Amino acid sequence: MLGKPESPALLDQTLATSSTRRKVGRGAIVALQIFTFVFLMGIWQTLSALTILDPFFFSRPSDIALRLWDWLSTGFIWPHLATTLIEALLAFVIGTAFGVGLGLAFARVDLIAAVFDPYIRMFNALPRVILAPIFLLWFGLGIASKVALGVTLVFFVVFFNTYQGVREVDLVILNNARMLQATDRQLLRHVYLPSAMAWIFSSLHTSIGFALVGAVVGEYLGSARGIGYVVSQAEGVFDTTGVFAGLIMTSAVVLCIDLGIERLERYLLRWRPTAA
Amino acid sequence: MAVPAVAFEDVTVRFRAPSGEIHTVARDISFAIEEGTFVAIVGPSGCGKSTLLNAAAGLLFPPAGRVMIFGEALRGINQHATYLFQQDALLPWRSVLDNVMLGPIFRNVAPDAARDQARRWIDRVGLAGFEDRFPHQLSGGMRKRVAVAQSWIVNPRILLMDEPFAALDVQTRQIMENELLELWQETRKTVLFITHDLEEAIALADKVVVLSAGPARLKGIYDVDLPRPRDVSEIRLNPEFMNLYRKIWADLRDEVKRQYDARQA
Repeated sequence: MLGKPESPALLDQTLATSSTRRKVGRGAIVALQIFTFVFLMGIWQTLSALTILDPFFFSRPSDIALRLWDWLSTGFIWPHLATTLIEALLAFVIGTAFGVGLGLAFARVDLIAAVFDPYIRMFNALPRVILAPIFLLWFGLGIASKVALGVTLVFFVVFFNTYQGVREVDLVILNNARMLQATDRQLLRHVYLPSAMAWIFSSLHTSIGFALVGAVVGEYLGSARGIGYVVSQAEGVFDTTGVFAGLIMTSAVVLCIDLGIERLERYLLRWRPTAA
Repeated sequence: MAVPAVAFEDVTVRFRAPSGEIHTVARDISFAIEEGTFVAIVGPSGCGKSTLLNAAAGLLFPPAGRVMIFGEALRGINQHATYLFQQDALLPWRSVLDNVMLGPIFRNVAPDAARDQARRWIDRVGLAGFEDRFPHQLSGGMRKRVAVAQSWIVNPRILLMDEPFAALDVQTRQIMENELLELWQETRKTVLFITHDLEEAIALADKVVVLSAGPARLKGIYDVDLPRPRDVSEIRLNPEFMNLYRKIWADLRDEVKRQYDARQA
């Protein structure tokens, strides 16, 4: 007889591994990743040393590394990095807030969805970069125009995911909450939003990336500081090394942010069964 | 006579299928359930039993006829009832404790008081020590226990159950049935229990309502005068149980066959 369920402690210990896939150790993976990096850089360095790749157009990994070191040690890059990050952060926060808010409204109120559907599609179809000149005119060369550009990018990602997340709420779960006498506000808080959270989170990686794209592209097109500005200045004097150093700086930052999000996501979505 | 807890009055339910045709799933159903009775509703699979239960829950509003709850025509969600679903209905993003607390929280009970109540009910259904688990970390039977605690904690006058144990294995199912009977014995709430399993229906209920093949009509109502408290595995051996089973099955068999033939056609 199964009188009482097993004790919690027992359940924790019963870990099995799938037999269909062989597990490669964490250390081996990192070693391979480092090897790949060194290998590719080595090829690049060799080819440019042999001038098969013209260093004027392709630069050299050693030069780029020196430049990065120079930027970091002299502190030249920090104000630019800070500017870009602040722009991206603002774009992300504002875009997410609008995206979640409007996504909820569209998903819950059919009339709003029906009326505004063509407009949303239209704006989403618009390549956002061509808005940059207008934002520059409206908001000036400062931070605001870059934030605006980032917001238009982030908004749609979050909006569509929120909309989808709310629409896909399990009907049985919803009915159960209604039978337990949840009011509309309680449904929103306890059912719709948490359900949409999973979708919003899976889009976080994309939307953070977009926030940065908005900031950097905005800076590139017209500004006095920021990573995009540094890159555009380097480009202006045919300084390939500077351009590459700026690119690498940007991707390193995105990578760090992405790792942070992954942790946050793992914590907040811990209720989900892990796909083994 | 006292006001019945639930009364169906000429309830008819129709749906528009995606193809545009109109399906009648239940037609002119009338019967009343007195407070404190355990009623099982049986009928062939797909005959519209769940639809009837949803009408009693207020999750759907019948286009013709009405559902009376304690003498009042039902509009909107049934405030006196909770619902035990066949599928998992727990919030997957909430722990066991938070799930059981939902009812009191929705009724604006202070969080501390709600938590105390919830702990008592979790203990009651034998899940002490699992308060902080998420539903996906529990077995199907354990999730069902959480659902039982969740629906019982608000002390509803009516409990609606839609084949709640159908997805469980046979042993777990019998344990859950006995525990359900035990709980019911203490509180004597009005229960509407949907099942397609006639044995389960007779073992649990005071009355068995038989519905016809779809569109569902009322085929018959049988009183189950078996002694309580019952044990679901023992009661099946009672000669009275078997008599009753034969009698109701004679009624039900034709309908199951009709429904099956209609499906094949």
